[in-house]
Amino acid sequence: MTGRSEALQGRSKVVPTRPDWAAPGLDRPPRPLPQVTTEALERPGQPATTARLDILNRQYVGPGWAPPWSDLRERAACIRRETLGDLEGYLGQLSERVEANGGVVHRAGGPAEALGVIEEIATANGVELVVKSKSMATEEIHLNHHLEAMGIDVVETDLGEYILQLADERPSHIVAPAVHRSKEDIAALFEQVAGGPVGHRPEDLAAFARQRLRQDFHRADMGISGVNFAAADTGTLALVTNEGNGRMVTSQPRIHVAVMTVEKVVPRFTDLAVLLPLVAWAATRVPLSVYQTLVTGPRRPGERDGPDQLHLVIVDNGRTSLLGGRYQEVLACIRCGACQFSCPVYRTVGGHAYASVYGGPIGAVLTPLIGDPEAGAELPFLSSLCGACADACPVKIPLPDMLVDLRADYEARRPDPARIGWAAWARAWAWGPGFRASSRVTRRLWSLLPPGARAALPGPGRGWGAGRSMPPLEHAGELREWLRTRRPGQRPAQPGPGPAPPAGPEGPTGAEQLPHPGLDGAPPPAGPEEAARRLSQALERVRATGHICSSAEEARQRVADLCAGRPTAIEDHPDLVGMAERLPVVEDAWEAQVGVTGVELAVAETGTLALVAGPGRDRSTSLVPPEHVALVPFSRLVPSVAVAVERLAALEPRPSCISFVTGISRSSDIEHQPVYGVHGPGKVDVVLYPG
Amino acid sequence: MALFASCIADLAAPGPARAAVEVLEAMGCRVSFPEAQSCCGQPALNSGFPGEGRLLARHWIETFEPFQAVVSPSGSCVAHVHHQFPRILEGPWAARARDMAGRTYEFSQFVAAYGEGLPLALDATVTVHDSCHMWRALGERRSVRSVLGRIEGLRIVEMEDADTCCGFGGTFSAKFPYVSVAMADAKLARGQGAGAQWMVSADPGCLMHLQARAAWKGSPLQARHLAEVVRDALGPGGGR
Repeated sequence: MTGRSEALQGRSKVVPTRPDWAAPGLDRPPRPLPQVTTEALERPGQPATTARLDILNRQYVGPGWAPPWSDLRERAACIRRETLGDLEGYLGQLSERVEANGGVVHRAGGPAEALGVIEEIATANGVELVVKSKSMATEEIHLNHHLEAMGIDVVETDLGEYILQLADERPSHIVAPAVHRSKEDIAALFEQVAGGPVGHRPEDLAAFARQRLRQDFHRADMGISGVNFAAADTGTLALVTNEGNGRMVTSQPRIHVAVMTVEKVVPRFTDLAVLLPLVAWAATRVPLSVYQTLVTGPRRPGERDGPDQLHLVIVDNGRTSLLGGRYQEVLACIRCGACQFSCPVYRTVGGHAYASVYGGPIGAVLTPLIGDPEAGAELPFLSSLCGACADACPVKIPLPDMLVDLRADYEARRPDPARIGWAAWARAWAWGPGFRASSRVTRRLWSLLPPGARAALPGPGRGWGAGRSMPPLEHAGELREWLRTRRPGQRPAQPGPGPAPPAGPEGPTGAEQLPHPGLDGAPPPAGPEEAARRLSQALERVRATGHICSSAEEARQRVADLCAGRPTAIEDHPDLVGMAERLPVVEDAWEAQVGVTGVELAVAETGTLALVAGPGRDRSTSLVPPEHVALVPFSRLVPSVAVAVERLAALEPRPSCISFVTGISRSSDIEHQPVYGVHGPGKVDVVLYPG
Repeated sequence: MALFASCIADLAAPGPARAAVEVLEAMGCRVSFPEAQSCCGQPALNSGFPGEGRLLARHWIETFEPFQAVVSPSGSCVAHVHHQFPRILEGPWAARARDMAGRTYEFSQFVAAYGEGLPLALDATVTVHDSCHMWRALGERRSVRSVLGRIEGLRIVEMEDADTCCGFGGTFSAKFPYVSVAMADAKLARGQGAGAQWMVSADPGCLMHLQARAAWKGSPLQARHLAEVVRDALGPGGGR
């Protein structure tokens, strides 16, 4: 079954146009950052990228935090800090649970160790073709390059990542990796690999990628994914995607390797009820991404799809050394990318200009703290400290304060001549007469210098003078002269009692005490009919369709009508007993036009279907065919994501795979214009009936 | 009460501090100017020199502690006093810093709270630049517009991304000059796009940077401090 990648055919014909600092696998800036960022400003297309990012910032970050999301944010901030309070303990628990579920856990100190582990798995299993879903952890260890050097075909399957792989570039944003590319850029790139025209609309480009990637999913030996959250109490790995490639990668190949960095662990499965909605809201202002895949072990006996082997690679790369220190909180990050959208410097220069795996505020903090400390040493200075990132952060990481502290660390490590200047400056200015003297000297010197020479002085003036008039330092001291001549002999007033000092900053309250509201802020539905109506409305918002029928028989007929005599894959579900006889059933989901499933639960507030894998209940049925029809009795409706997660947490035995499906497969990787039906179904019908 | 002018006012931009004194006096305040004042120390801390930042923070506290209230026309400096002093100082100094934060006001906050009766009129079209440290570190999001709203004849036109950084960022403006200038250009373009004559802010740092860029480019938009606008609007029948 294995062989070479179809999706990568023609890759050698691509003529790279990127600057050297946009390359994948970059270890450190090729030139000092002031120079790289200046080049970035001149990169063709940068103004268009900035304009796109400005729009996304207004859309995603501009609205700020209001209930119920501000409450979820508080809870998430607590959960993440609780995790970091005993990271090693939770990692131990996670490893134990994953092993008990039949997975294999590998702890890796650094990139080399992690690469060694994955290489060994690939070699032992004769792997030739790997499909990958988006993972920043694998970017961090430069996995693709390593596997390619072994002669393995590695294919990025997220649309944005696929574009970048062909273009030989790094992601420029955590969740919008190709945000710096226009659709014309992408069309030109695809035409190079295709050797002919591919169309210029985002739909055409997505269709081209879908068609090329499809066979690779089917034929790959190994799927490599990241991990968004790993629940320690159940050993469940949660993966968030919109296109459906994450589900493909974790269900089709015979081996699944999940790569996570240590901080991705969370204490409890039920924490996902907070974190899954929050990461989607922070990243793109939707209540839930289209797909959440919750993997608890490899395929079980009797299951027809899913991986035979599940490996979890947990990479440290310097993170645990941050525990207990002033930067510990940076590990609370849930990789939503909101700080990047929010950052005006990031939007101005683009993500590549940071010359590191992670750009923007989180990159400027994290990069100098992990891996090679010299690699991102200058990054904390690439910020105007405007504070927008702290407001945007869904887990309240004080990024600006960390940037300030990292600057101090940087200066403390260097025998910088500026240090002497700053020390002398502070000493003079911390003494009234010293400050006044410096003001007089400044004024005299400035007045002596011809204006042309002022910008040529060494020091900060030279930077300032690049494109700005020099500050009018000839005014130094004027303020005090004015005050003196106006009211000579002014004396300080007598001190009086000041108001009471404000209370100190309050620490986060316990997560348990905070309310957990519904995501739509509305009261729970009054009865099953209202729940069904709400579900239908929610489905409409995510481009799926709800059909409310008055009886089981009408519902079954509706399912048959929707399948319309086309080849249909159907799962073995208690709600579907007798349904197969009415449909032209095919065994292989890859041959089917429609997949028919029941659900474990359906969530009224978001329109989310919870599907579980099991014997006769394949992962592929709701994923591989281009259309999905779900039959849902009212008894399976729950009001909220929180209730759904709680119910699923109580399932015994815990399913090897739970998929949350909210709407149809979607990608926004091309100029952020949504396209549908990328890897998962482009049509979803939910047939509801009283029962 | 005492005026903390900021080192920018002392060295390069005396105008806003003078205007602040005039407005505060028009409100009936007795404004003292402690001669020992220099700088809050923000440039040192943000450049990676917290020791020097602490030295100036302590000097600042000693200078202003005798006063019931401190008012400053520099939002960024006030935010530094409120947020960074308690964070970088330790022990009794941190307690003294918190005490000072409780009675240190940014100019527009003070005027918004206590300057309601001022007769203000001025014929101008302005847009507001919400400076970052006031907006975020200080959490002050209303006072500038509330004060401007009291000026008869003055029109506020809102620009897009009013709360986006202008690109000054202290030493950032010299370390990454081209990025800093590109951010100023975006800001100025938005202000011009809104049809404003003046871009008004309560932060001399932003204003120095924006004005320097506007002057370099020959932009018709002027960056002006709120205090100067209010001072110009003072008096029976208003100013110009």
